[in-house]
Amino acid sequence: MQNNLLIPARYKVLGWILTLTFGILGFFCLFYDFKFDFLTSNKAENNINNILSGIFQSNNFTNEIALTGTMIGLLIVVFSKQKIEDEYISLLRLKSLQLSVLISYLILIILNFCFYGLDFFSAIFYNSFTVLVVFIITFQWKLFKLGKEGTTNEE
Amino acid sequence: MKNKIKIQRAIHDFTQADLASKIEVSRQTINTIESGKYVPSTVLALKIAKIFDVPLETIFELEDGD
Repeated sequence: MQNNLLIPARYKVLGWILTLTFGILGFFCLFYDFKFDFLTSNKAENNINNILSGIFQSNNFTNEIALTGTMIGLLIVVFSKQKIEDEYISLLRLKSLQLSVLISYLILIILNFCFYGLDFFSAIFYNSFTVLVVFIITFQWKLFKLGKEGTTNEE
Repeated sequence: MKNKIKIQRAIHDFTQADLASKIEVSRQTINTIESGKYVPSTVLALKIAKIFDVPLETIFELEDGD
């Protein structure tokens, strides 16, 4: 079965580099209020449209850049092929994706009852990583188990 | 579905890795097929039969419950 959405395996390293770099940036943004000054935008001060100026207030884009970079990195990792991408690996991919979607929505249902108001939106925001992260963990775990079975059962 | 890949491998003196490289799948995939954990697609089954130069039914056969 041909899966045209997958990218060559060599991009996986790039994905991990992006994830780690922007993930660390995001961590410092979130917990230590780290900002790059050159990423501050003051455009909204000159904006005459009240609605828009309400949304686009003076903002530093460090956290947005960190989020985007981390997500792109994780997406590259998720969508890069294995060295040998055969039909059994595709099956493992599908099973891992099903599990990650299921877990993500279960968490969302729980969050729905635990957080209210703005907290709920930040909870949803963090949960947006769940599908990708759980997919990577389950897929790698299945591959690890497959490799282990393969070495013990040979011949 | 039962399969006789292991027997055919022994006849042709192939390791799992040899067979895997010939049909361009991973060795672990051959292992899961041999152990009956995974039923291959028709394309893969036909490729395996072609490598061993035998009819498909010689290698794969249905069992009760299939």
